[in-house]
Amino acid sequence: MKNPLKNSRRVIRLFALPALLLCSRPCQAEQSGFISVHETVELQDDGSALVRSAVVVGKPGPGPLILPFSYKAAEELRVTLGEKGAAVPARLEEIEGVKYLRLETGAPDLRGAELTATFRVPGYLDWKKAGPGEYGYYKWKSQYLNTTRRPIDSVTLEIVLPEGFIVAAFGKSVPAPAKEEALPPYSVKNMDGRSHLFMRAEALTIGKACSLEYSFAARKRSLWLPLAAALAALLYLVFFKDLVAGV
Amino acid sequence: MVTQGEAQRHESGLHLDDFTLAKVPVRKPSASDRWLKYLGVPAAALILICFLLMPTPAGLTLCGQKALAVFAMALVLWVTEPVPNYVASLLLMVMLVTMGVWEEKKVLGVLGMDVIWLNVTAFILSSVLVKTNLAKRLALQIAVKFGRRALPALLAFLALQLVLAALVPATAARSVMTLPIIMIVAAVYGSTVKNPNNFGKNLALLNLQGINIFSSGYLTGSTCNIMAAAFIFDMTSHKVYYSEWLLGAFPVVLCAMLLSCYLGPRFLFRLTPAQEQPSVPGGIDALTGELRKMGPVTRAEWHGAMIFGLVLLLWVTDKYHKALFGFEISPVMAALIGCVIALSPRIGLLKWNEADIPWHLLIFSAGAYAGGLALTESGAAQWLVDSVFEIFAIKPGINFWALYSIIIAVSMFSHIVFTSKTIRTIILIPMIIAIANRLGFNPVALALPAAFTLSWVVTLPISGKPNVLFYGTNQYSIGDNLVSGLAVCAIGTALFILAGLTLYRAIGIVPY
Repeated sequence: MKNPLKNSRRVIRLFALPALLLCSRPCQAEQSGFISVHETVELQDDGSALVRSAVVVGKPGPGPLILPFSYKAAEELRVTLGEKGAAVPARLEEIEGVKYLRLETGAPDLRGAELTATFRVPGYLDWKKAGPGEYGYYKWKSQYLNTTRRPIDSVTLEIVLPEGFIVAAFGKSVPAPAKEEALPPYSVKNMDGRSHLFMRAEALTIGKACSLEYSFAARKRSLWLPLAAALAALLYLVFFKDLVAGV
Repeated sequence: MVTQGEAQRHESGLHLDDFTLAKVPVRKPSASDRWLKYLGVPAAALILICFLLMPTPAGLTLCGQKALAVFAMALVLWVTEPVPNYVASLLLMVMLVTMGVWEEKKVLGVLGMDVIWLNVTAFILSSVLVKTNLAKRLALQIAVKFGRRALPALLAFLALQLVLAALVPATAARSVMTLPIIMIVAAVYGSTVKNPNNFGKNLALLNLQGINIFSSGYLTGSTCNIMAAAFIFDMTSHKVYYSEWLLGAFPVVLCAMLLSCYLGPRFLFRLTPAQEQPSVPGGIDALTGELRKMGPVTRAEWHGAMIFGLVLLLWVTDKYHKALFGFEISPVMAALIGCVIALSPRIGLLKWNEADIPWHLLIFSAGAYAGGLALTESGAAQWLVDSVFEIFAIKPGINFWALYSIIIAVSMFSHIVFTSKTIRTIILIPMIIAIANRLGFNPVALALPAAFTLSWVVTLPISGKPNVLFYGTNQYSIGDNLVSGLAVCAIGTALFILAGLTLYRAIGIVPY
């Protein structure tokens, strides 16, 4: 028999995050949304991730500026105005499990400004959990969650695989590829010896996430198939010589 | 005991029992065929090795690279035929799964796709036309009226496909309707399943091209045309009218098909003087006698025509189904309804053993579709199209006509790597509109002519549903299909470029 308590827990969980975000004190400040977020998650061999989040602010209100934060923890957090601009005091805060970055901007006019947050996320990728599974593929899911109450017009989540690994395939994505769209919301670019995965989403409102499941494998090539193909071709040339006999 | 008359009919090729497609025919290979067979396996292996060992290009996933490798290998095996095509398809399916390109469930699931079912039902319905002698009667009528020489016979079929394309929007339906007639007329010219000749090759390939290419002559000729017009309207606010499409596409289509009809028998697959005339003993007079002997239309023929007519009616009235029944009957379901009636005792006409279904062909199709779908799902097909545009260095400042020619060529030939016109439409048309907007050109001037090429899916047996059906007639090889398809696509590309410079300027599609 179904446990009614389990269902009610699910309902509570479903509404808890938006409700908390709406009620949380830091989110009450009068701020408009973010124009764009480009979050680069560079996966490291030890499973940690170096994150660089470039956020273009819409119209910030008075008081602290709240930026979304999608991870369990952050180390070596540093926020600057622009790529190499002035440092902005920032700290990671949490209310009822909802994390966000609180920036003390000192109320300069940040309209249209780009803030760059860099930090390290320990244990982002659990190698053991990820694989290797069949065909030597590792499977993982990355997501960007809007933990603020302000909408984000456009989000690009860029995942950079550790050196020596390459994207094998894409799995489910949120948003899912639309039938009427020419291109799926995700793409891959292999450059500078690293594989970069891109996931795009638009209008990410309160509590909404964009995510991408992907599999990747070690870049080194297995030689058994090319060797088997070469051997089969050689054997064919020998044993089927009669095909061209007398031609 | 076989009577003298029956023996004569067997000899003339008009005995319908000779038209079995279910058994794989054995052909005697020529010297070049034998070399192709011998070198096919090493060539396929070499291509596979090259694709697997090359560094993964930017923009391609590992699965995409493997899908390309396996598909290219299979393509070489299909064309050179060192192993039967269904073996190559089965190998392709095995490799897709064991190399981790596509999930086993999806690969095996291809056999349940609508295109495979449409093939099964099409062959059952085709068997009805053959069994009732209706196909024979229609074929004889065409042969008697136009068949004294090969070229008028080919032209008669061209005219038939031209008219049918305007009336019946489903290419598979047109294939099913005309296939048995084509087989019998081919036999009249001495081209049977067991011993095909160049007349049969020309006739089958011309009809295949007619069915596909004439679809691009009319806005309603194919779903992909309507979809392309919808994309153009949504993204540019330019409404494509039936008349605009007809004026733009039809003249090119007609010229290309007439050229193909002329060039095929004279250059690609030359007809010998003997193949130029019916090879039935007694010639056309014998066929006239045969037609007369058939007498008036029999009850069975009417019965067969009614079953086929019902399916046809469901096919052509598809857009009214919702209003009439509250739901839409898909082309496969319409054909299945026909099969249920045709195979039912008392009301039907056919027993299961009389249904001529070439299962080897369905296995070949399933493998080929699996390969094509893996290319699409892994993003390899998209990457190929992107790469072609990248190779031609399309950037601001490019000459409009250079860009126009590249776009026409890419949209014309890209069907080689796509098995679905719909997917090609979804990928190409918005991409072309985006390119035109980026470079500051009128998007309609590029997207509409590109849309005219979407139905030209004539190069491989897996390029479209009619292609699979026609390939099953054993009148031509995959290599023949490739050669004639590439030739007609090259002609089409040249004609569309010529039309862009002249006709499209005159009617305002290209304002440059």
